[in-house]
Amino acid sequence: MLDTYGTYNGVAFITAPKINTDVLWALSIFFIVLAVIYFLSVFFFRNRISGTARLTRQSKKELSPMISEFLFYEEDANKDEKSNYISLKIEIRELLKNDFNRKILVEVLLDLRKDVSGDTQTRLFALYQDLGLEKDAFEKLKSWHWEVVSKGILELTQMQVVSAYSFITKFINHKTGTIRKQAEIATVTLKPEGINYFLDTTRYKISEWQQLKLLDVIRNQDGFEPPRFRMWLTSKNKHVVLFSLRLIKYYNQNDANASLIELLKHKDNQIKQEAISCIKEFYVAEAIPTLKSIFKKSNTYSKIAVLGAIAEIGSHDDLGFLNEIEKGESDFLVSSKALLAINTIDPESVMPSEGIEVSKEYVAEIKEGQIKLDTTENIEIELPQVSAAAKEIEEKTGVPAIVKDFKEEDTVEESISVDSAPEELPNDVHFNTSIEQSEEEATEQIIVNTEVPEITENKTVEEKEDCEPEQIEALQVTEIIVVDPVVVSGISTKIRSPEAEIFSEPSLRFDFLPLVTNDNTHTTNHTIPKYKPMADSENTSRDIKKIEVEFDEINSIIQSDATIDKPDFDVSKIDFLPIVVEEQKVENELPESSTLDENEDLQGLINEINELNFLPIVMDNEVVDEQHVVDTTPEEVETKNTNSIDGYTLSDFEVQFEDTKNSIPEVKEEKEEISEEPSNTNQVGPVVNDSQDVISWLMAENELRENELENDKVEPIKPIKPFADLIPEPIYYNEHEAYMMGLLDDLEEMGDHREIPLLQELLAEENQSFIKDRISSLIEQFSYTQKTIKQTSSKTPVERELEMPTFNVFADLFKNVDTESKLLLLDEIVSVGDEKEITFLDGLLGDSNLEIRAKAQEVLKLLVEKVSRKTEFEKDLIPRPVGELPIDLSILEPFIETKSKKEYFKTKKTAFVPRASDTLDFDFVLEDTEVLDKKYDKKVLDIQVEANEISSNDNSFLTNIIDFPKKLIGKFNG
Amino acid sequence: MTKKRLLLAEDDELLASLLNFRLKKGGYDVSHRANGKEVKEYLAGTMPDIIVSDIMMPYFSGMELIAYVRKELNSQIPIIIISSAGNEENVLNAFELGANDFISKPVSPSELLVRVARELNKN
Repeated sequence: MLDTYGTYNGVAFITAPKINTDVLWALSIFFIVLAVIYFLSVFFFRNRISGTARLTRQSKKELSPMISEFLFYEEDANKDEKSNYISLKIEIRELLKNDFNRKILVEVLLDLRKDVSGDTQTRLFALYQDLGLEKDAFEKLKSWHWEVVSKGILELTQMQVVSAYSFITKFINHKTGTIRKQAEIATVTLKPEGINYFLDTTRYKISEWQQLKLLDVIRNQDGFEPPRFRMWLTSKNKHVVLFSLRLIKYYNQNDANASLIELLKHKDNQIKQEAISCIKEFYVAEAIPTLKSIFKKSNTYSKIAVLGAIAEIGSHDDLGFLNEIEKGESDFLVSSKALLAINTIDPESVMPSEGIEVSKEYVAEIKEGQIKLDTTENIEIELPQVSAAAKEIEEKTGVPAIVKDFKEEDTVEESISVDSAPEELPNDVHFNTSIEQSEEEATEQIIVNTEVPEITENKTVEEKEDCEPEQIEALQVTEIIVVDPVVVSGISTKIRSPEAEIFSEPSLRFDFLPLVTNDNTHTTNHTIPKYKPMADSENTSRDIKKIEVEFDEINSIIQSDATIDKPDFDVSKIDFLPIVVEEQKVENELPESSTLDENEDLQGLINEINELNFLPIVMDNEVVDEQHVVDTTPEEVETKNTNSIDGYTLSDFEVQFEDTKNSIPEVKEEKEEISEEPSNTNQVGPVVNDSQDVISWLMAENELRENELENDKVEPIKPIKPFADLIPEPIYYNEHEAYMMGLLDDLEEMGDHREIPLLQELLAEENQSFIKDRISSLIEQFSYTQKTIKQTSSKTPVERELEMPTFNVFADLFKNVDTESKLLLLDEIVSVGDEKEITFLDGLLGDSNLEIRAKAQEVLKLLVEKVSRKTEFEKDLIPRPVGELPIDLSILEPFIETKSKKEYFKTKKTAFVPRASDTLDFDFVLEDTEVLDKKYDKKVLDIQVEANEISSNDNSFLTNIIDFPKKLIGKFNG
Repeated sequence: MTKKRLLLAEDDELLASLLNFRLKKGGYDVSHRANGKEVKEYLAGTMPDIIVSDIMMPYFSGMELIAYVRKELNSQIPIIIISSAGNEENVLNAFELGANDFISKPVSPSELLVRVARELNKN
C-alpha cells in the first residue's frame, strides 16, 4: 500500500515552501518605502546640515563687520560713528534674542580670540561680557550633560570671565574627569591665586598630562608670581606633593631642603625620585646620609636616582659607600651607576678593565723612585705641535723658547725636579712613550722624587700592579722651558714651563694675567706643578687654578714721588678738554709773553691760527679787560693771545681765536655790558697754564667755571619792589557797606536780569561810589543777559532749535535698554512727551528693529495729534468772542447757570491772559504755533492722524468741553 | 591725498573682515581676496602699494605669492606675511623669497597697522 502510495503520489523529501506572494509584495513595498524614507531622510538631513552651515556662514559674515565695529570703536569717534555704533548695538541686541544668533556670535568671538592678540583680544573679551554671552556659558554649567558643562567651563575660561571663577572652582572635585580637568585649568587660568586654591582643594589624581597643561598655563600667565610650593609638600594628596615638587624644581625654590630630605623617605617611589631630583638640583649635601639610608629599601630606579645624586653632590667620603654598592649590588644597572658615581667623584680611580689585552709589550717599567707618567691620547701632543707652541711663545714673548727633548739632552735633571704626585702633573706636559726606546734612555730622562704606584698608557689595573720599573721600555719627555726672564711693558717677568704648556693649547690664552717676577727665581730649578694627569675638559678651570704662581712685587709700578710730580704728560693728548684761563696771571704774563715775539714756533702757530678762519669763535672766558682791549691794536691782541699760549701746540686749542680782528668788537660789547661789575673787569681771555702740571691745570679749569658762574650773575639787576608793597591794603567796610557788598555778591551769583529794577533802586539810593560802581557793573552784566534773551526770543523756533543742544531724555534712556524697555518707553512718550520727542521718534522710524519702528510710527502719530490738539487748545486760550468758539454753549447749561458767560470769560481771562501790568520788561515772545512751524519730514507730516486714538492725560473738564465738538464731528463723519 | 592700496590675501573670513575693517579705518584702500587664484587675478590687473598675505591659502600659498610677485611680476612692493605657522623654517623661507615682514598669529591689528605704515614709509 505504502509502496503504491509512494509510487503514485510521489512523496517529496524536499518540498519547496509555498510562497505567499502577497507577503512578498508587502515586504518589497515595505523595504522600498524604507529605502525611500532612508534616502529622503538622508537628503533631508544633509540639506538641513548644509542649510544650517550656510546660514551659519551667512550669519558669521553679517556679524563679523558688526564685531569689528565694536572692537575698534573709540570713544573719541565722530558723531556718525557714534550713531552707527549705537544703532549697531541695538541691532546686535536684537539679533542676540535669537538663540541661533547667540550661538553663532559666541562661535565668532571664540574663533577670533585665537586669531587676534593684544588690545583687540582684550576688547573681544569685554565685548563678550558686554553682550551678555557669558550667561549662556553659565547656563551650561547647570547642565546634566558633562560635555555641556565642560564646554561651558572652556568657554568661560577662553573668554577670561573672571567672575566665573567661584562657579568653576566648585567643579575641581567633580566626579567626571573631563569636567574636573577643565575646571582645574580654568581655576588656574582665571586667577593667579587659582593654583593655590587648586592645590589646596583637589582630592583627585593630577595626571602627568594635566600637570604639563597646568604648568603651561601658569608659565604663560602674565605677572604670575609663584607661591612657595613647599607649602603643599605636606598635602595628603600625593599627586599634589608630586606636582609641588616639580614646581619647586621648575621655579628653583630651594627653601624646602628639610622637607625634601624628609620626602626621601616617602613610600611612593615617584615622589622619592622627584625629591632626589630636587636635592640633586639644589645641591643639598646634607641629604647624603638620608640618601644612603634609603638606598637599600628603594627600587632600582630610585637607587639609580640616589647614586646619581651622590655622584653630583657627594665627596670622597662617599666613595666607600659607592664602592660597597658597586661590589655588592647584583643589579647591573645599579652597580654600573655606582661605578659611574665613583668615577664622577674621583675620576680615574677605577680604570677600564674589560677587554684589555694583556701583553708584555704594553708594560712599561718604572724604576723605583721614578715617576710613572700617564700617557693617554688626550694629553699627548706630538712634537710638531710642541714646536708650534714654542714658536707661539717666541712670538708672544720675544724670548726664544727652548724645546728640550729629553731623549737628546741629559740635563733634564738639572732643570726639572718633580716633587709632586704624578696625577697632579699638568696634562699638557708632553710625554711620548716609545716602546722601542731603551730602558736606559727612559730612566735617564726623568727622575722623580716621589713614589708613584702607577701607570702607563693602556695598562690594565692588573698590569699596573705587576708593572716593574724596568718594564718601562721607553719614556720620551718633551718640555718647553722658557728660561730667560721676559720683559713686557717694562715689567720683567719669566715664563716658566707650565705657562708654556698652556700656550700650546690654542683655546687658552693667559696673556691677560699679570706677569709675575721673582728676583730669586732666575734659576732653572723648575717645579712641575701638581696636576691631574687625566683631567677632563670640565676640570680645566680647576686645573688652571692649580698652576703654581710665584708672586713677586712689581717694581716698575712703584715709583718715587718725584716721578709723580713730574709726569711725562703730553698736553697735546688732552686737546679734548676746554681751554682754561687763569685770570690772575693774565695781566702779569702778557708783558712777559711779549718777549716771546721772536719765537719762531709761536709765529708758526700764529700763522696756523690765522689759517683757521673758518672755525667758529669760542670764547671760554668772555671777560676781557676793557682797557686792554681798547688800548691794544688787533695785532697786539693777537700777539698777546698767542703769547699766552706758551707751551701749547695748536691742537691744545681745539676751537680758539680764529680771527681776532673780527672778535674784538664783540669782546668790547660784552665788556661794556658787564662793566658794572668791577670785580670781573680785569679778566682777560688768553690762556695761561702750566703744561707740566695737570692738577694745577684742572684747578684752573675749576676757577674758570667759578668765573663763568660769576659772569652769569652780571646781568643788570632790575630794582625789585619791596615784597610788602605787593600785598594789597585791607579794605574795611562799615555795617551798611558790608551788607551791601554781601547782597551784591549774592545777586551776582544767583541773580539775573530780573534784578535790574532792584539794582536800579539800589543805585539811586546808594552814596558810596565803589558800591555804585559795583551795582552799575551788575546792571550792565544783567542787561547783557537780557539782550541775549531778547535776541534768542526773536529767533524763529526752528532757529532756536538748531542752536540749542539737542537733548532728549528718551534718546538718552534708549541707549542702554533692551527692546522691551524701549517699547515701554515709547508708550510713555505718548503720555509725557511733547513736541521735542517728535524728532527723536522721527529718528526711530529708521530703526533696524521692525517692532520699534512700528511702535515709533504709532507713537509719533499719537504725539503729533496730541501736540496739535494742545496747540489748538493754547490758541483757544486767547480771548475770543463767544460766538467764535467752536462749542455749543447750550450744552454747558449747568455751568452757565452758575456763572454768567461774561463772568466766566472774565475769570478765564484773568486766569490765562497776562495783564498789561504783568508783562515783563523784556520781550518774551510766546510762540503758540511752535510745533506746526517746525520743518518736519514729509513722512511725519503725512502720517494719518486718527482722533479716536488719542490717549491724553488732559482730562480736565475744560478739555472735555473743547474736545466734545470734535468728537461729535468725528462721529458724524463716521 | 590718495589712499594707499593694500591687498589683503586671507582665507579666514572672520580675521579678514576684522583686518579689513581695521586697515580701512587706518586709512588704506583695502582689497580683500580669499584665495591665491583671486589674488593672482587681482595682481594681473592692479598692483597694490603693499600686500598683506596669509601663508596657507587655497590654490596659491603665501610663499608662492611672494615668488610670483618678486620673480614673475618683478615687483618690489612690500609684502607682509601673516601666518600661524611661524616656525623658523617658514619665516626664513618667506624672507629668502623676498618678504619684507613676518607676523605670527595671533596678530594684533594695531601692530599690523604700524608695520604696514613702516613698510610703506621705507619705500
